[in-house]
Amino acid sequence: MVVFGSLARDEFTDESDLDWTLLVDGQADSDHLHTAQAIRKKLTLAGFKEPGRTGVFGNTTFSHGLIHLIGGEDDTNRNTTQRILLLLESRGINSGEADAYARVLTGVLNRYLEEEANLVQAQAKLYKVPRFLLNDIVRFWRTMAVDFASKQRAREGEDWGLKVSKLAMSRKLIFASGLLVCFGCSLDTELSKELAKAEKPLVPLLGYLRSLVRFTPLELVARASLSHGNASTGRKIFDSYDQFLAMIADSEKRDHLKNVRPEESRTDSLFLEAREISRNFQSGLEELFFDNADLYKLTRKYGVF
Amino acid sequence: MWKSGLKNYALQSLRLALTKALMEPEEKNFVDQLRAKLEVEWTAIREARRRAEQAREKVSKSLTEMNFVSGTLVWLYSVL
Repeated sequence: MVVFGSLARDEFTDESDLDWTLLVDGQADSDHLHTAQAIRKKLTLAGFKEPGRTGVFGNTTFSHGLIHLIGGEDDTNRNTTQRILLLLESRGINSGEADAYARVLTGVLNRYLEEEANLVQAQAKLYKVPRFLLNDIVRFWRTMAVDFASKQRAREGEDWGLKVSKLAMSRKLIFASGLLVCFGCSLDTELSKELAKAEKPLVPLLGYLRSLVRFTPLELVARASLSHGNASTGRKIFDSYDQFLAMIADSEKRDHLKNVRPEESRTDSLFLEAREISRNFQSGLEELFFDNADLYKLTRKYGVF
Repeated sequence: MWKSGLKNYALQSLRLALTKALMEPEEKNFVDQLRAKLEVEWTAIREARRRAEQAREKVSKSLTEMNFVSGTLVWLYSVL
């Protein structure tokens, strides 16, 4: 069983949903449905809130789609979401390194790397940024932002204030951490040393990516802030994220935010406070990605075109 | 028949060995340093991390109570 969302990101509050899936990496079995149903019932009895109504979580997922259907018509929104979130915000529960969760993570990363014509730069023995993986992470973030508007329209603005704040904070954090995972392949000096000793470049790179995706998005941003940022950048990012988590953990404030409508976005004092927090967060991320020479070079090269 | 069984076994063993080989030792020092920083300075982040850990333990306990073992359907056999 794999959990996602705030539970996997280490950002859980009393109000959080429990996003989970029964990940199957093997032969299909009609009993998988009964297993998923039993898990759902047990978790509800244990007091956990059911996943949202998008249908992305709370059921069974097969590894085949996650590994093989990257791009193309069969790569549905659900499949892309599960795949990227498996990489950037997931945790296996009661699972070891030989179980489905670890195997599928390795399989998905391997699939992204297989699509690269060359893993190493032509002029120097340095890894390139894995562009196929990067493009999928960028696509996921942009799709999520577009779908936000679509869902809001379909649901007549339900929970608008809370959802827009989450988009600007926790969802953006996932994207930033994904960029850092990709950029790390080219920047990490320890990885470069491994490459110099390696017979085949794939093995250390796969191992590196596997080790990075074990961190939460916040840990990945903290790691980059320590390596590429400065004290002020780190403080700006983490102070604002701490304020955001404090706000959504407060049930009164959370309920208030849920009820803020788009037309109240310039007058509601709590929403204005949330917006200021997200602006500081954005400013911290901009400093991290644009003020450090190494990250700036990669952001400029890969972040736009 | 036995040849295909042997081939499957060999493939599984290879897969397991590859998975283990790819796992680097955890960057314990870094994580410890980071956790220390997070837990001292940012209280909401600290609290959210504590709650997440507690909730994951609760999920894990629920699965154990179902006799659910990752990779098998042990619980079904105990129910049937």
